[in-house]
Amino acid sequence: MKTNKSPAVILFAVFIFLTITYIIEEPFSFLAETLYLFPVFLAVLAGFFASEVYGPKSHNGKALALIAFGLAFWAAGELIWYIFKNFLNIDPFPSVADAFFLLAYPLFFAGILIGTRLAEIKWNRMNKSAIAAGITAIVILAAAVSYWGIYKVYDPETSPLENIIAMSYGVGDLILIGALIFSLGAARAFRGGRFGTLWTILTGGFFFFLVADIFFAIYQPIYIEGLKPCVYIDLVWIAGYLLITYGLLDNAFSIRSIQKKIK
Amino acid sequence: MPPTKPKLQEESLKIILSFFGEKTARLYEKKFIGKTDAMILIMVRELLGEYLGPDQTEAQMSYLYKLIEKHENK
Repeated sequence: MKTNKSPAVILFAVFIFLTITYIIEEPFSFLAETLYLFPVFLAVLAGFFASEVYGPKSHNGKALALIAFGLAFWAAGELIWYIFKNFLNIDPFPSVADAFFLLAYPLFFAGILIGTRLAEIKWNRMNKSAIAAGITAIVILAAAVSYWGIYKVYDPETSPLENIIAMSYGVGDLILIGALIFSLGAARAFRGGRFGTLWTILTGGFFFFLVADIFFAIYQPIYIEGLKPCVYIDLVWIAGYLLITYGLLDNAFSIRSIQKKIK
Repeated sequence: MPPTKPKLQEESLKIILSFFGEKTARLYEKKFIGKTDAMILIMVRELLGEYLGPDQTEAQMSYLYKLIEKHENK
């Protein structure tokens, strides 16, 4: 797998720094909550940078722009959540932040579908055991999301609106799982090439988000109390943002270097 | 100019535009000037090979080879 080492080293150092901060700081401290936003906005910038390198006429440019907008919606949701919680003392759930979080899912789905269309994925020619492993992983993820993210989230004592919003996150994750089937297929179809690397890394990043969402759904009461180690679920989301940032930057820098080489 | 070249260049640039975007396609358009069919095919293969991997590169290149073959059989 060909990759650029410098962004990997820097982003890994950021992850270590944030992990140490989370361990040292009190749960949900102002510093920890503020630093959490850094990888979120970094991913947004990486997404728009990568889409600009390709331009709007290419499939990859359109795909990465949609993914960047999805990340921007999540960043908007995170920022609103942060402001409500830390400055306005308003319970951020449910709020307009949820609208931004949920609207990101169709953008991710569309971006991944457009980006992977070029792959000409030939499912019937793929290694059977790889397909079996992939299907098993997807079924387990979908079952976990359906159970903890949709079924268990329903609370008859809260309002219908809160229930709909809470369960919608699980539905969003199922949509994301559907999209990841295609990104896995593209990663396989492009294997040996840098596009294969891109889709492998993006799949990994979104996988971290799914795992974090599942853990959050399972341990939500303990997480909300600010008890360790449940608050470290934030680090799984952070890992997702940083991995996606890395995938986007690695790919964008390599295209840039091709453009410089042939000038 | 050999008759295949405009078509080969056009189709090669379509592939490059689709995968790599307009900036890269414009740069390759300039690079193709004065190059033979064989050299264009080498440049395209080199680019696709690095990014698409061997399987997808062969799929795209076979389309370009068929284009040349079609003209030679006319």
